Amino acid sequence: MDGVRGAGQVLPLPVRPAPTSAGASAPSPYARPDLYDLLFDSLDYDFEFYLGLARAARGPVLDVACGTGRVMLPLLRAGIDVDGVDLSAAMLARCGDKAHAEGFAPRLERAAMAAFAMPRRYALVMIPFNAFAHNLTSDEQLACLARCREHLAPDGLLAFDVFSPTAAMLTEPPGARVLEVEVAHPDTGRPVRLYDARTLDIVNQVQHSSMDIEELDEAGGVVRHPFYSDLRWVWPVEMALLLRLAGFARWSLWGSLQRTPVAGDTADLVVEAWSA
Amino acid sequence: MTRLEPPRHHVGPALYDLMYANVRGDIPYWVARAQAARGPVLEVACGSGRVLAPLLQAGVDADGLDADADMLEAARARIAAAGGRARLVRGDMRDFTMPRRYALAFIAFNSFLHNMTRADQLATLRACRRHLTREGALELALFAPDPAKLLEYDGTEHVSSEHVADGATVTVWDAPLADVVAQTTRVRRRVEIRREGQEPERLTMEFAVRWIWPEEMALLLEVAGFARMRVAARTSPREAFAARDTLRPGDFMVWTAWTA
Repeated sequence: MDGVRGAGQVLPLPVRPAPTSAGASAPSPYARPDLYDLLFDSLDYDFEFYLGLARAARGPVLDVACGTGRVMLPLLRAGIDVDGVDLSAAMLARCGDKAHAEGFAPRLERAAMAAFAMPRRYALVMIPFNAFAHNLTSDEQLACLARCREHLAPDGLLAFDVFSPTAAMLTEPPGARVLEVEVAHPDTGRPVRLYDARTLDIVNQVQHSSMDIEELDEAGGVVRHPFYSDLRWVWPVEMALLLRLAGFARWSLWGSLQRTPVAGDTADLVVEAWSA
Repeated sequence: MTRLEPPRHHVGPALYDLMYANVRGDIPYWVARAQAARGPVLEVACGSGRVLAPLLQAGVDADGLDADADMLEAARARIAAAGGRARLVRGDMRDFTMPRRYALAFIAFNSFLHNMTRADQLATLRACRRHLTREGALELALFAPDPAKLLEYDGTEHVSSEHVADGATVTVWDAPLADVVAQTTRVRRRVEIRREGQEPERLTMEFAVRWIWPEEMALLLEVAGFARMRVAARTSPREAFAARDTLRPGDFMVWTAWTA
């Protein structure tokens, strides 16, 4: 076995529908790092978890899918040696600008989560904030996990969190438009809103997400930025199989970043995995 | 691991056959698959011969394995009544040894879901794989979970089926309780058998299944050492077991896996 899918070939399931949503042609939300940061840069709910792990790690940290550096910057400020990988050149550029403005110079590489190669090994590899869910197939998931494992120092830790479908999500009417985030623009004070219309593909475990980020102009008119994204969820039992197939020796699965047990209605699946 | 525990919903062949008398849709499929196989066929968890007897009647060289001695005895009688003969072996699907290798091994109608742990699942898949010829295939038929249904499985009782079989009206009430983390459903079941002019016969039982998501099944087969696999979608064997273009929650998945 080469650590990815062995010599095996998994033929696709009978349905692997292309996204049918009207918004599927819209750009990825990562095409607009400025809007992304407006909505998400103030989030800090996961700092305690990842900062805690980074402090406990005895060696460098790799932030996979680091984006604009929301989690990386607090680690740098805490004196931690962090490198970053991201697929989006635009997100990475903004991450670099923010780090440099504070006098940091992390190594940032543009690469896919499933195909990165860094010149050193890490005490902690982390994939914060649901980024692992961008791996849409088992092949991508396994390739990502294998790359992470290969980049771990002998007693290194892989940690990541992904969403887990709750009963409410699973029974939500498909395509219903929901206000997900609302913030005040730091310059104008006017609201910036993120609406999301989700459709779940249960068989393929993919959530199709048509998003609108709406800003208000001076005259009160709505400026609409449509985005589209697919996210693949992983059931807890399936996650254990993926970790095993990717060569991890042991792991813990949690229902939250506070390390509460996985339960029937927990919205997060948090993974800590060791290769030895 | 040579455990030989009674299966989890051991109910005896007479009641089993009455409860599942309306499950016939998959028989033509298995007959066709067995006839197309280039070599002998093994039905794992053959039970009382619901599928195995028609296979033998169709002239297929088929053996059967089951953990339940009473079910096997009923299978033997059913097959003999049809003028057939089969090698029937009592054994645990997780750890069995048959004296030959098969072009097709199959587990019909959700019986694979009696494997309640990942270790059980993998042991069963590996035991089946060991019994295949080089080009042989394993086929499994199991339902694709429907979250909308599973979320309703809170222990509340509902009528699960009602049909007429062997001159009796058989009504089944199920009170399923799903654990979405462990992927298990525990079912408390009541059965009432009514015959003209007789007191109704009433029974209760409990059993459990561990369901499997489509993507997870592919991973299990891969971990168990299968090199290639395919999944097809069909309607329930309680209905026509008809092929579908697309797999929908609640449909049946028919997995075929090859060792090479």
